[in-house]
Amino acid sequence: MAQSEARVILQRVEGVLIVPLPDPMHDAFLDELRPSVLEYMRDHPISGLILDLSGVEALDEHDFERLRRVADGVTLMGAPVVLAGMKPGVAAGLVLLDVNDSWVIPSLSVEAAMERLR
Amino acid sequence: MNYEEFKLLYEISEIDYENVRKLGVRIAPAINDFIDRLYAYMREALGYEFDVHFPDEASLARAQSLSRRAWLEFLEAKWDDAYVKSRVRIGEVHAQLQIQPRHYLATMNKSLELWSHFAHTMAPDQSDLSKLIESMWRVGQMEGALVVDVYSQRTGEIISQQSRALTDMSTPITAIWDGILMLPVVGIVDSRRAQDIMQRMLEQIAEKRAIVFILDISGVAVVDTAVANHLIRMTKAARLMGSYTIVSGLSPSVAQTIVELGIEVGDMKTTGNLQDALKIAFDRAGVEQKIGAK
Repeated sequence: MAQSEARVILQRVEGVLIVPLPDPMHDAFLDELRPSVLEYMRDHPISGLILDLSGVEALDEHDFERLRRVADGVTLMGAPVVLAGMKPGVAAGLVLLDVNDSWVIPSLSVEAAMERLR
Repeated sequence: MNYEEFKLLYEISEIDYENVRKLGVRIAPAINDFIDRLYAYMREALGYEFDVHFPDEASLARAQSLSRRAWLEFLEAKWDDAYVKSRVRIGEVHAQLQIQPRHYLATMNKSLELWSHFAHTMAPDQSDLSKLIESMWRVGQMEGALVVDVYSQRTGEIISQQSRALTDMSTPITAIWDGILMLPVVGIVDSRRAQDIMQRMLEQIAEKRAIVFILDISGVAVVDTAVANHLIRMTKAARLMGSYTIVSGLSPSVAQTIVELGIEVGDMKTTGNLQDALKIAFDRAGVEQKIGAK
């Protein structure tokens, strides 16, 4: 179980890396996410990373902060990171928690994010 | 809901049901007499409301036949799914007809009194008669509680439905173009309303895939720090979802208040009138589709 929870799925579509985030978000996944993506980038050129949040029903400030660090790492390696498909409840929750969201490049959906990154 | 809880609350055991059944066999033959007396009492006690609930002979006859069935069920005293279901149904009917709980409970009280009377006259020889009657009262009162409980639940549902309808009416979000939504906010924005607006706004953004959301506040009576903060929150949440919010219709006095109060509006895009907001929105909706990588 722990094994499958931690699994990070990397999908490369037209030069864009798409990673669907699981619900519920768990630490094992977040631990795995940054090294997986960065190592992938070392071997494959990508024009951007899309973190697909469309399946995520809840996200706390701790998870959000860890996503920021993933984004920071990827940005350092030269690719933009787009958060796609955040649900209304998640967005409202994050705003109430008053998280720092200045780093976020948002997008309505994975499709819209693809349009931007391709 | 857990209806078993009612049995616990009223300390009702299998013995009580047995008692009611024992008594029921003796007094059930008086059902017609019972119904006549009960409805005579209701006609007397409810006054004009009786005529409101039973405007003609047909509806009265129907109610009487339902009452008859309900009471025969009661005297059979079987606690099973069918029984609970029929009591829930009674509560629903009372809620639908807007029959006041006090009228229902008073009628229940009168009914138990009548059955006690029948017990004394028809089964004076029954052993432990007072115990049987006591069981009947407790089961009857529990049933009353159950029906009133369902009644208040249904009434609560009706109220929340109405308040939802009111919320929908006060947040008329309209799609004015492909990917552009607009909401004219009118009246007073308190935190309750702001929450409603934000929720509806975000839902609509997700559903309609809105690239731009125009929040027109020219109809908002007062813009103070609290309202401004609500607006900023809405803007931020919408941004996280990938939608761009423009707050339009800032009157000169509102702009002055914001400056005087020293409210930090941050990245929130504001315009003085709707026309400017529309221009920006069209621009963005068009640009958004063509723009390359950041």
